[in-house]
Amino acid sequence: MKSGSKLERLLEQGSFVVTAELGPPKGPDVSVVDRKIELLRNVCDAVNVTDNQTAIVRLCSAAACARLVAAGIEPVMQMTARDRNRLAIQADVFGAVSQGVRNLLCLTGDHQTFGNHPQARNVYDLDSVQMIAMLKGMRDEGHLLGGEEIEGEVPLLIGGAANPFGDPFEMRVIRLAKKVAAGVDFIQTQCIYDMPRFREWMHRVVDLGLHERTHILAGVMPLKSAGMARYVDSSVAGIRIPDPIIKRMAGAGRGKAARAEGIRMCAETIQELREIEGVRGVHIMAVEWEEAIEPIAAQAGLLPRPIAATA
Amino acid sequence: MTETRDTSPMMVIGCERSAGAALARLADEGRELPPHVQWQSVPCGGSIDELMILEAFENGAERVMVVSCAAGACNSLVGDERARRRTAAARELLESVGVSSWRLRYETMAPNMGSDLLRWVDEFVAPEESIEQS
Amino acid sequence: MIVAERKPIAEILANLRQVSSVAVVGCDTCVAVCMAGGTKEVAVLGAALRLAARQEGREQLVTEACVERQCEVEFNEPLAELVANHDVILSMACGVGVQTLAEQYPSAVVYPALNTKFMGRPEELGTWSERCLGCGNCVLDKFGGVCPITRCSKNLLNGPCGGSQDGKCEVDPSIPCAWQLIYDRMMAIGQVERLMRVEPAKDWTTSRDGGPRKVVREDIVP
Repeated sequence: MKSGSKLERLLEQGSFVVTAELGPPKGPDVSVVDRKIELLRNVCDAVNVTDNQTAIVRLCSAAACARLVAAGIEPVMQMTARDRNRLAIQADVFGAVSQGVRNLLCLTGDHQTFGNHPQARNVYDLDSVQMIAMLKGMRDEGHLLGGEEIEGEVPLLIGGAANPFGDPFEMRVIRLAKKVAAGVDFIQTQCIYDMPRFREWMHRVVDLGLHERTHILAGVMPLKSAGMARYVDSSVAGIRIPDPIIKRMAGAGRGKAARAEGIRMCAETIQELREIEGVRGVHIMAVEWEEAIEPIAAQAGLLPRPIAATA
Repeated sequence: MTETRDTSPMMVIGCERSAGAALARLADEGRELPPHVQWQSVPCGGSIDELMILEAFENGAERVMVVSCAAGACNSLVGDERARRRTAAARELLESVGVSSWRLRYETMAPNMGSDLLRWVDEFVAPEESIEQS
Repeated sequence: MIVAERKPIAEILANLRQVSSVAVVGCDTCVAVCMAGGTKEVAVLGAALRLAARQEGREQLVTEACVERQCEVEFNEPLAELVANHDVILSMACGVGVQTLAEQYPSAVVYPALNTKFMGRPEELGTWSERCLGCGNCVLDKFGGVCPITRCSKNLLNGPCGGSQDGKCEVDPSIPCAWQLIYDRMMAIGQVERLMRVEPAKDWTTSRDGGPRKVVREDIVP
């Protein structure tokens, strides 16, 4: 066991895992985090806590993760390269592990021009690949990037992201291979709407045997409305939503009916993903809609969640 | 109806083939630019630049009109486009040093439009809505 | 080459209102090539400053001058009298030129008229774009001659990021994705397998992060 985390144990025992996402508040009010925790309890195996997502300042992932640990929920701490240099990242890793965090997702991070502080200095001291390699060195060799020995253990399951839908297509598989070479233990992909493209990507991933060296979790995001679908398609970096999906949402009407259709579509997508070779789980990103996780998981036949064997 | 004519100094900077040729035809008819208007000839609109326009204002002009051939008619192909864009850049610069943008005009014409040129000169006045700050 | 742009006139004027004499000094090297601070641009700014003074009812002497290269003291020596006779020297050189004048004439008040932007190249007449930020350890051999430090908005050494779409950077569609360019170039020269290598964390000490830099050629210094 690399980390002994619940996520790791479930993956090792062959379960199809379910992770979800929790967005912290734009302030120190942890009651927001507490409320979201209860919506996600027992409907997923681990919860990602985002880190200044889209470069908008929010309660830091480390503090929110500590709250999850205290509430008995397994966190996956997200960390971007955009805001912190290698000193801060390593210090935050120590902090996270000290608070019981055992899963860490290494991200490059959306550029700060997207967020509420576009005038900030770029950091990007490291990129996500280098971050993965650094964490592996901390965990398996017990030393910092700068070489000094670490006092204590850093048991972490190291995660990374993958975007099968970005360009250039050929580089997408190369980049995954590099993350695997750097030591990534699990991957969460960008949300999948273009199934044929995802299948093509997975095909190449399986060809290279990467699915056996890392655990790939397929990302999904339920749509609330046709309007949301159009917005995501045009404004969110790295996501394209095919017309048939937008049309289906438009045909579903508005409000409750639209949301029900979005949940249904997400559940159908998950069921399709389960059949694809190499997919070891699903990562459900219900942005500011954590209530949707339970019905999605239920409709996709993912409930109740399995018990993880002890390490 | 009497209108007070603005006789403050004006400079017309124009290319030979458009305004220059038109002024020559007007002269044959015994007509000319009014005395408060100075005429500066250039071979082509493309040779008109910001400095030329600024210097006209520096040397006493209170209004400057830049004239070139119409789009598509320039003998050097893009002289009119250059004149238009450089006049626009000069206008912005002038605005930022307190010279109102209405004081710089850009017109295009053919040599047979001499009467239009005289009319534009006459009608080159401050817009009614704006109140001039001295 | 160094690429710069003239500051907005309002910003330049803000420093000059209480000044009775200003010498506008241009440079005929890089900033002349990017049409920001050469002889021609000095003439335009000089005229603009005189017009501004007149419009605002101020008395101001505006003198114009231009030197070959403002970053080298030998070329600035003939300016001594001009500097002595004017309250302010408004330099139309890049930041290096401005600082050279200030160092050379320590009792002079030297203000910049330009914003120095980057090291770059002209793409076509009137358009210049950034190519090198001087990281001090050139790795262009590894990336097909496309710099990921300068041209990737996130300076990724193991790119692309998830936001690369249709060859464009997520930050702005007018920015080409450097990693698309790198991939295309490496394919064209048959070196794409090199991109499989995990590039380790960069040593930023050779860049400005390590402090302001100096190059000394021991074989050349007197």
